[in-house]
Amino acid sequence: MTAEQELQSASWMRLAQTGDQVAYASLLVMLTPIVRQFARQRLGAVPWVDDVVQETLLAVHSARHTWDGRRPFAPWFYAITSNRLIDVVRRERRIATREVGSDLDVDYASTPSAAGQRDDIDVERIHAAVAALPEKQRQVIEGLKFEDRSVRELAGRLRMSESAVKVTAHRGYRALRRMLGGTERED
Amino acid sequence: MRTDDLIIELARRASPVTPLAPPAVRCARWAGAMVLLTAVGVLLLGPRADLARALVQPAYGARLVTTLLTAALASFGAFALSVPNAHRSPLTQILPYAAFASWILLLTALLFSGGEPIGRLLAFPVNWPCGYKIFGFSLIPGVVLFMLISRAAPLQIMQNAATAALAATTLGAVATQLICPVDDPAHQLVGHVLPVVVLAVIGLAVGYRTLERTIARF
Repeated sequence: MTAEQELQSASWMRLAQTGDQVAYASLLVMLTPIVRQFARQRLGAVPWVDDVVQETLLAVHSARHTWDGRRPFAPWFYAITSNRLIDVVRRERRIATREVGSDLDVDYASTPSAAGQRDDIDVERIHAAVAALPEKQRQVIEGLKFEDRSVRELAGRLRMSESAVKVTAHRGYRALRRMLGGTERED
Repeated sequence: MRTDDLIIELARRASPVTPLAPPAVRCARWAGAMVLLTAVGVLLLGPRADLARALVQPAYGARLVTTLLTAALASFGAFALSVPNAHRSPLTQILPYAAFASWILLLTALLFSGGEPIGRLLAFPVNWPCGYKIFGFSLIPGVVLFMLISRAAPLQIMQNAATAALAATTLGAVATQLICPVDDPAHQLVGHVLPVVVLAVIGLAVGYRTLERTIARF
């Protein structure tokens, strides 16, 4: 964050604390690329950088009353960003090691109907399979994969714990593998 | 949800907020109220008969000061940890435990200076009412402290919960020392320090869950 950005963000945050929605939106827009760059510098090109960005923005929102206007903005902001980044990394590691691996890792080549179609995935068939899932599994998988929502966000929306969302997603993926005729990976 | 949509949604929900007072101010307010409450409790239960004389004894004064210092440093640490970047110095996290260790070291030194330390400890001079008092005196301060912390934005919830639990239980220990007439360091170690440790661990577990729910709001 440059000195100019520090001044600007502090000014916008002071206004945001008084309920100025325009200033607040401007602040969040300015912070977004800063968080993204911060995350990319530490994580590289992982596919969930946007999760870090969104979780950070949500945390800034929830914690905005804790920023003291007499103190610099950047250290407060980076403390939140670092914390969210660590949380997302831990969560992604847990998911990678314990749960889904590559989510729709269906071995198409091993099924006669799908042989030779690996580069041409039957999207309609996947959508139909998702639609046939039990309601909770369908909602979770649609939210995670089609609507690009985070686990935390879905947990809030569906009134489930984050663990329950992950478990439901895992069960859904297994059901999809069975429906689509793929082999299940040994994670 | 796309990030742009999230920004619009957050901005739409951005109502005015009252900035929290600095951690030191919040800590002073909490400490003021809790010291008052604790003083009332001590008066109701009755302070030890020789309190005025005990206060001028170096050993009693030193252990009261170290316990009080632990409570003060831990409560400040708990408030500071609950605000992002308010705990700029690692000392904020270290000092409460250093003070707690100094309380134990002081009691251990007093135990050894009195002779037969092992025998006195093995006699396990525990006085259960002291444990109950520590629990009673730390309950309300602990609950209030965790409520106040959860209104902020605790990021390191394990450390925050541990420091808050230590603050509440050592405050309970201070109050109990004003009532308990037994000066034997063996009793102080077994009947006061041990309950503080046990209650702090329980407080940490319960408080961690409380703060975890706070984090889930993020």
